[in-house]
Amino acid sequence: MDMIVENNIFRFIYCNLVNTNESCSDFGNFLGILPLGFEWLAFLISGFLLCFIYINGILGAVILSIWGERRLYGRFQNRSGPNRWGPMGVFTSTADAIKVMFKEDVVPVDADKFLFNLAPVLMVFPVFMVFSVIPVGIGTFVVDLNVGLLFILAVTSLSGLAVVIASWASGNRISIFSGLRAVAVLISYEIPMALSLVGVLMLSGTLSLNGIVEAQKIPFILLQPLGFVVFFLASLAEINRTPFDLTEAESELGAGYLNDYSSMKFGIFFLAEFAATIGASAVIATVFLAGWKGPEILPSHIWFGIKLILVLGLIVWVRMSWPRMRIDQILHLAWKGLFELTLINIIVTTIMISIKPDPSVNEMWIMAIINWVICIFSLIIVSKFLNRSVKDNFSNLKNTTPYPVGTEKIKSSFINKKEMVN
Amino acid sequence: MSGNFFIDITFWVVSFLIILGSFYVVTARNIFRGAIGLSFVFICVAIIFFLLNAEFLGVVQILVYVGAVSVLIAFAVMFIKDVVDGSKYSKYRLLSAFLCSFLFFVLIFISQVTEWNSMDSIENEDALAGLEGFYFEESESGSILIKKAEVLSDGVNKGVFINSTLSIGSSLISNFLIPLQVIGFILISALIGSLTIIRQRRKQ
Amino acid sequence: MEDYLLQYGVLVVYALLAIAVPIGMLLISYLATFIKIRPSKPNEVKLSAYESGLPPFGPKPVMFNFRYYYYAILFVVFDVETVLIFPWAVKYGVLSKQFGLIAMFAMFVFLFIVTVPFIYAWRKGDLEWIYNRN
Repeated sequence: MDMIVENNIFRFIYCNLVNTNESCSDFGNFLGILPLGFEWLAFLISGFLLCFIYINGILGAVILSIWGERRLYGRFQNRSGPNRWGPMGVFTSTADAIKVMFKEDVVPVDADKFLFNLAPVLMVFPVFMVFSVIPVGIGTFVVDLNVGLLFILAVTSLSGLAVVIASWASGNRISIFSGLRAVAVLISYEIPMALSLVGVLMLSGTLSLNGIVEAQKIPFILLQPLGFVVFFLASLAEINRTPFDLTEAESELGAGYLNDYSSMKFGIFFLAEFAATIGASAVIATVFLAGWKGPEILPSHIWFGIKLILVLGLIVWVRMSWPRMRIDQILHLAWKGLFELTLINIIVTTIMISIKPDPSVNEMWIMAIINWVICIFSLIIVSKFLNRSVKDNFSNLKNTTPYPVGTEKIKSSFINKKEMVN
Repeated sequence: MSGNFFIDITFWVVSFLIILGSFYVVTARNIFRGAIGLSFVFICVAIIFFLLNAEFLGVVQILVYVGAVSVLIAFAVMFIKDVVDGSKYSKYRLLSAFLCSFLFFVLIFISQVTEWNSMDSIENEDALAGLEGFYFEESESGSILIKKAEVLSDGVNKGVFINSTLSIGSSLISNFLIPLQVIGFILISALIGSLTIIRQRRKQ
Repeated sequence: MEDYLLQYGVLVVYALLAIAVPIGMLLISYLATFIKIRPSKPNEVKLSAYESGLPPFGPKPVMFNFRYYYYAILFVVFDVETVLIFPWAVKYGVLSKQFGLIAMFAMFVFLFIVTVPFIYAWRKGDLEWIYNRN
C-alpha cells in the first residue's frame, strides 16, 4: 500500500525512505533506506520533515521581514534604519528575538493563569495553519485541500477567539476595551473579506488554492479589481495594520490587548502579527496575482517570492502614508462601504459568467476592461456616500453627551468624560 | 498497520475529548472558561466531520461555530456580572434538566431510526443517481470535464463524497431550492428579533 | 489508501508542530529562569494590572458598551449567508449551463432576502457607532 501525497518535497523524502515501485520509479532513482512494510513510518517522517521545513521557513521569513520593514520605514522617513548588527543590519531582529526570550516574565495577580499562558499559543496557531495550504511553487505545499480557501477563512476566524481570550485573561480594563474593539473590527471585516472572494471562486470553479492558481489565464486582479480592493483592505484590518491598527494604538491604549504580556509571550504575539502580514500577502499573491505562475525564464518559487515581496512592500507603503482611523470610521467602512462593494461585485460577475460561461483569453480582457470601469465608478460613488455619513456622524457627536463605557461605579471625578468615547 | 487503524484511534480520542469537554462546559464555575471549553468541543466536532469525508461541513463548523458563535457567547459572558464565581442556581433547574435529557433521548432515537446513506451501503448506480450526479475532472489539455458519478471497485464512489463542496452547490439550486429561501427568512427573523431585544434592553 | 485522508494526516502533523513550536519557545524561555539567565523579581506594583502608570482603581469592569453586540449578531447572520453562497459560487460555471437563469435568480433572491434586515438595521441606526440617546 502506498501512502504518498501529490507533493514534490514530500515525494522526494518519501521515495528516499521507501522506494516503492508504483509511484517512485517514474521520477528517477531513489535510495530506499527502509524496507517495504514500513510505509507508515516513512509517511510520518516525511510529513514531519515537510512541516518542519515549512514552519522554519515561516520563522525565517518573519525575522527577515521585520528587518526589511524597519529598513523600509527608515527609507520612507529619510533615515537609514537598523544597520549595526550584521551586514546591513540583517541580524537586528535575531538579536531582538533572543533578547525578548530572556526578559523577565510578569504574570499579573488578576490574570487567569491558564488562559493567560494559552492565549499566545492560540494566537500564533491559526497564522501557521494559513501557510499550510498556500502553494509556493509548482507542487510545493504542505497540503492541497479541496476546500483550501474556505479553510484559510476558517482558521483566520480562530484568531478572533484568541484575541478575546488574551484580553479577558489578563484581567485589565484597558486590555478588555482593546480586545472588544479588536474583535469588533475582526468580525466586521471578515464578511467583506469572504464575500470578495466569491467572484474569484466563480471564475476558477474550485476552492483549492493550487486550482485557483492554475485557473488564472490572466491574473485575477485584472478580472476582479473590486474584489482585490475589498480583499486588500479587509486583510489589512484582519492583521491590524496601520489604517486599521486602532486596537493597539500606542498613544491611546498602551499596547492594547497585549498590555500585560511580557517576555516570550509578547514575543510570540509579535511573531504572530508579522507572520499574519506575510500570510495575508501570500494569500493575495496567490489568489489575485496568479501565485507561482509566470514566464518560464525564472523558476516558479522565485515568481511567488517576487509577488509576495511586492504585496509586502505595498502594505508597508500604505502604513507609511495613511494616518490611523477612528473606530466608528473603521466599522462604517466595513458595513456601509465594503459590504455594498462586494454585493456589486457578486452581481456583476454572476451576470458576466451567465453570458459567457467559458471565456477565452480575449473575452477575458474585455471582461477585465468592463470590470475596471465598474470598479472605479462604484468606488467613487461609495466613497462620496461614506463621506456624507461620516459628516452626519460628527454632528451627532456634538449633540450627545459621551458616556463612560467602563463601569457604573467609578466616581465621575476620576474621568475626563470627553475623552472616554469608546 | 493500516490507515483504518489511525482513523479509529483518531475517532476514539476525539470522541473522548468531546465528552470530556462537554462535561467541563457544564460543570465549570467560571463561565468564561466554560465558553472557551465550548469552542474546544466545536473544534473536535469539526474533526469528526473531517473524518467522515465531509470537509466542507468541517470547515463550516469551524467558521460559523468557533469563529462566530463562540465569539458571540464570549461577548455575552462579558455582560454577566459574576463571571468568575458563576451565578446562583435557577428556580427551574429541575424542569430544564428534564427537558434537556428528553432532548438527548430524542436525538439518540432519531439517530437510530434514520437510515444513513453511508459510503459502503451505496453499491448500485440507481442509488447514486438519487444522490447527486456530477463531478469535475481536469483533462490533459487543461479544460474541465464534467463526468457522471461512478462507483469504483473498492466501494468508494467518486464524485459524491470526494468533493462535497460541489455537490452541496448543485443541491442548493436543485433539491434544496425552497429550503434555501426558508433559511433566508429564518435569518431575517433571527436578526430582527435579536436586534429588537437588544434595543429594548438598551433603553432600560 | 485515499489521498483525502493522507492529506489530512499531513495536516494533523503540521497542526501538532504549529502548536509545539510556540510551546517550545515558551518552555525555553521558562527554563532559562533556572540557570539564572532570565531574572524573576516580582513585587506588588509589578504584578498589578498596568493601567498606563496609574495604580488600578475601582472595580473591574462589569458592563460594556452594548454596541459590540450588534456587530457580533450581524456577523453571525452574514457568516451563515457567506457559507451558503460559497458552494453555489464554486459550481456556478456548471450550474448556469445546467439550469440557466434559475441558478442566478435563486441566489439573487436569497441575497435580497438577507439584505432586507441589513437595510432595516441601517435605517434603525444600529450600524451607527455613536448612538443618539436623546
